[in-house]
Amino acid sequence: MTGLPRTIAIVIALLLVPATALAQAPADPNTPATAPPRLNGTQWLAKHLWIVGGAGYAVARAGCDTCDQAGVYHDSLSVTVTGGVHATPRVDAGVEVHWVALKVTGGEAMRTTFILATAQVRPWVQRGLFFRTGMGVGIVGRGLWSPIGPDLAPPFTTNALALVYGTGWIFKVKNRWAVQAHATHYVASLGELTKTDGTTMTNVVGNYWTVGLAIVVR
Amino acid sequence: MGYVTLPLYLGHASGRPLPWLLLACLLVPTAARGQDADAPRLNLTLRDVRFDLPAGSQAQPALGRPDCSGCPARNLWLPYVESLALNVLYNGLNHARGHETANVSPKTWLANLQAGFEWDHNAFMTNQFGHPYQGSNYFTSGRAHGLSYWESAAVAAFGSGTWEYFYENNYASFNDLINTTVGGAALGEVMYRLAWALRDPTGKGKNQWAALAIDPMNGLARATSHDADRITSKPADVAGRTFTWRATSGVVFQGPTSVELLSTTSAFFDIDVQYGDVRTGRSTTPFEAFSTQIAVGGGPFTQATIRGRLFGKPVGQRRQGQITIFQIFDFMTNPAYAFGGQGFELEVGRRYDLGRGTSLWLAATGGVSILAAVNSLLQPPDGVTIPDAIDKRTYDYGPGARFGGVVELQRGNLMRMSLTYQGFQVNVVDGRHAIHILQRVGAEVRVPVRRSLAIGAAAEYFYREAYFWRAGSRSDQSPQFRLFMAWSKGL
Repeated sequence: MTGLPRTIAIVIALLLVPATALAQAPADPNTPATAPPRLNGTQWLAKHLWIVGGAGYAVARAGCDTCDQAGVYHDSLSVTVTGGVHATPRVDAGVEVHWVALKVTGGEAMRTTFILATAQVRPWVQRGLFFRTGMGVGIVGRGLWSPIGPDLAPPFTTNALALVYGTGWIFKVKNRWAVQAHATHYVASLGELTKTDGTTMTNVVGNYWTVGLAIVVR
Repeated sequence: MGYVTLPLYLGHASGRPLPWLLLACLLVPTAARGQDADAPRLNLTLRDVRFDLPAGSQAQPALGRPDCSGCPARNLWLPYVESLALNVLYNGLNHARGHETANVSPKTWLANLQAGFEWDHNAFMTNQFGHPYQGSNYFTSGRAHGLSYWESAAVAAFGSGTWEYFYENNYASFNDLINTTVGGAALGEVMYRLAWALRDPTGKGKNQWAALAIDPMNGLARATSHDADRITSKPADVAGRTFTWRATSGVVFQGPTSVELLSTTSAFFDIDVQYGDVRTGRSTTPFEAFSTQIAVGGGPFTQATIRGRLFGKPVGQRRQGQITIFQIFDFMTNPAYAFGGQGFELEVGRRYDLGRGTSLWLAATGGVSILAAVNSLLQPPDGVTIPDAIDKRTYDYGPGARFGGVVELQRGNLMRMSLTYQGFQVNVVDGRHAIHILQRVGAEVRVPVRRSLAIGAAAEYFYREAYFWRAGSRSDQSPQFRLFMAWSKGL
């Protein structure tokens, strides 16, 4: 993992480490035994922390105005990291970062990085079934390009809009630890894309189907 | 695409059973029971996000609501079945109209599933209003069967997803999925609440037909469940809610634009509805207060906007400030520009009491358009060639930012004078690659003539700058003036 994904992973890890450590903080001794302890912001965050990290197998299809109607398929490894909170016993919400590869017209595969606001719902609290959806940006290559922003060397994508939906099952292991199996469909509208060979494709849309396993702290 | 739901309703109103209702009975599985009755609940409407049936029976009360004889029986599965039935209906309508896309088969299903989502090239009206309306049918089906706002939004997503994959033979449309789901939720909740504000379930039958026309899926559910025959209270989440409305009609003068080189003058008519008060009170209930505006003039259907409150909180020592998060639905077409989309906005406002029943409201807004559509007829600078619009589609898609502000002078409950500014930034991801920045500033004055009658004048100046990738920038501008009479009434 290099470049932007690594930077994002480090930032998320740094943000989450203190909160994880605080998860073991003792309750305020002055709180009456019968009343639930009143939590400050950090304690609440630690108690409600929701982290998912895992990997999977992905198949990606790229389509664009000038691409073959059938699209270009490519399979690869995918990596997912999600950090957030469980807002209610049924609803988790957070930020998801997902990496997967895409080929537009054959040749070299390009990495797509998804950064999504995501929400996960479990219809039955005592059961593992969950549904997940999210929306955010999907970035190919080096990052976002803007006519009023900095110059970038190709390959880069100029715009991005992404969403994800999927389902899965959580198998509880111990206390807050669990393992989940999931199947998700990511969609990224990548706009205009310039490859390393200098060719530009317009209105590129990537579809990424992923199955995978992840470790859950909740 | 036509959206004819009245015959569907009439079939039920006359008491004839529908075949798909039998299908629904066959498909509804044994209800799974929630097992977390003692689970802690936060003071958020998210607590209503369950997607399962409450422990006990299907009968209300449920979800911690007080006793509510008018609440519909909660049924988790029927809205999903009805969504499939709606898809069959719409597909049938497309068949009847000879749409080639309506010819579906397992082969097209497989091809669509393998291809995933792409963008479609339908007309602006179809994509930005037709699909949200279709989504509102799915959504209100959920609301009619006792589901919460968020749960019903999931029904809209399901209805949209299944429509895109299985009821059309072209590839599933990314923009349709978002517009149908998010726009459908906004439009549907407005329809649901307005219908209930009109409907009188205590036996008088007042405004039943109007409610039916506004929210046919709820009328259908009430007819088939025989709730319409019972004398009840209103559901808890709409009980006691009323709205005020204002009808405005006059003439509008539109200045020249880069597209319409000659100025035009035409008649217009619009209706503003205020449901609750979006500028006061604490709320975490979606659309417990909203404002909406529908306008015609200068075209068959020129504007439909919704600002539904998702969260509201008074601030300040005297509670004169207000922080609000809105869900936004925009549909605007006029000779100067076309803009539509789904978004969310944060508004920070404050009311200043000026005495003698006069007050000044100041507010600033900022937010995001998760998907906006903007017309793309602006031409690049001379000598620069850019590709033709996709499949001759005259508008482009992208996410973006939105921002604005308002200064409004009120006397009593009537707006006397206002200054507004609105800006939309659209980062095109499908179409002629560009960043569009649309801005409009407006001023309006109203003078009361009689108790509920006023005359007024308004002016608006529109300016757009579009930055085309590798093709330079281009701007457009157009003034607009309106003279009108307004009639307002509170229900």
